[in-house]
Amino acid sequence: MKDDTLFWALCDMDEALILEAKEVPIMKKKSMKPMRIALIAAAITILLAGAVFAVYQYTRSTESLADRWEVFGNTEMPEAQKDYIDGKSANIGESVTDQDVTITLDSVTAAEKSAYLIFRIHPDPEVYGERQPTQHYTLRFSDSEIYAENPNYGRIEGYSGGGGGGDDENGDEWAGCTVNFDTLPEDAGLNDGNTTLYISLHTLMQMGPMGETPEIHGTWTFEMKLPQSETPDSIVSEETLSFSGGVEMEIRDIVLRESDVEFVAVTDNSNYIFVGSGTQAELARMAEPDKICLTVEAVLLDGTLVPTTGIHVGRDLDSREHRWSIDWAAPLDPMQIATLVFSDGAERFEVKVNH
Amino acid sequence: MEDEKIIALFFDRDEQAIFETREKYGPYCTAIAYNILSSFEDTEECVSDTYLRTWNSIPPNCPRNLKGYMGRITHNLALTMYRRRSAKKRSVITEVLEELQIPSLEDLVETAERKETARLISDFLRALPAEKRRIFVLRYWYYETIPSISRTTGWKETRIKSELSRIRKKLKKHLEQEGVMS
Repeated sequence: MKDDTLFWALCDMDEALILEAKEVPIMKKKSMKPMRIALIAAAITILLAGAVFAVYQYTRSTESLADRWEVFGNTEMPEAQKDYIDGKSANIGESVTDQDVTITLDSVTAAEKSAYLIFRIHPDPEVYGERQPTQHYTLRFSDSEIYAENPNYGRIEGYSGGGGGGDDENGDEWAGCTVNFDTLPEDAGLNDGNTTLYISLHTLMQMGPMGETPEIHGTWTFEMKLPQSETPDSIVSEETLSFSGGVEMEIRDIVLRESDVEFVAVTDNSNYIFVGSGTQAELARMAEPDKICLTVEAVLLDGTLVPTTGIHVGRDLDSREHRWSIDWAAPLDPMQIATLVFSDGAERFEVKVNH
Repeated sequence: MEDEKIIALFFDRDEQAIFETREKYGPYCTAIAYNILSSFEDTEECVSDTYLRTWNSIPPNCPRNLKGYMGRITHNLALTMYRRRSAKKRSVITEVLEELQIPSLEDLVETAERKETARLISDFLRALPAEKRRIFVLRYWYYETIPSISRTTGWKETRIKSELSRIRKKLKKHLEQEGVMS
């Protein structure tokens, strides 16, 4: 048997087993008394009446970040969190046409070190024909030029991260991308009200009904003042966590920020690897990669588990101190975080943050 | 819309079939692809390819279960994309390969041995209690994280890890006894 036969054989397992695993167990419904039904009906009527007068529309960049949160965390983004992000967002509506394709910068969300941009894509139907349901367009961000300029710190290059996409209510396709500025000076923020972001896009990819992917090359350049917002103060925990059971490690200097949580892990054994996926920060020993030895989770005040999208570690082999940072899936008010949970299976430490 | 009606739209070459499929199974396919690729852009591309493959394969195919059919297409496309990526981002699939002690992944090639092994695995899983079978499939077909499985099943993460370890050992022994694994 070849090394990977088992893996591919698992891929071929019976379809009924695959579908069964995703079936949701059916819960028995409790019967409701007529009075209770009447009260609920009245409450719904009042809510619906209120909704006529107050329909709030979030920016598309906020909605898109909420979608990302849901994908990473399998849970809906709380309303308070959406409101927080929307306070850092603005509708732009600036359009550029090249190669008979109009690209509109729909909206932007700017946090301290990253910006999230949403573009709408509208190829001229007289040139490209009416878009068929099987035809899709998406922007390639990897060959775009991106930089930020600020009178206080000059020009800083950015790089784009993953995006998303779909159809909007006008039938246009939209594409989103995150732009990160990790080299911003310590106290600088993209959301300080003085930052201008430049982005020049060059490639639009088409996906045709027969699977072909022709590209349209052009130049669509946007320049925008990023919306101003407050960057919340970081929360610093004085706690030192000493693990001595499953893993021998000390964790200290925990700092909670809008974009991530950072801490120093001190251990005599640097022979660890990160095995966490997008949604969970996990650490294992190299010799036993299937045995998770440390997990880190953040829980909001309403009990929601915060999805994370990346883990970075800076190793210092001389001092045995490793600086970890774990990115949130969307900008987050640190004041909304209730607890950080560090666990190695044997021991569990809860760092109470806002109580 | 019911699966039969969507399949009929595919047979009629009605592009509404793509809309209906995206509406009904888009999130399911996205979740499968994302667990493998850990990238929004790649996931989007993979799921778009899934719709195209489905469009191009129905007819002549007429799947008994559209969800399972699309899930399998997404799964295979995502694994092909994962293999082709030069810089492999660490994702759940990396963990799964390590857990299964598979050093590298080669091209998916149809072999009689693989089909036979798949049949033996399915038989083995059917004999397990439903909840254990479920965590195994969630981990080794859907490539879900341990915390995600914990949320789905309500089991503690440590319990899931030890159950998975036990099932892997039993499966290995089963395949050895059947003569497909040494």
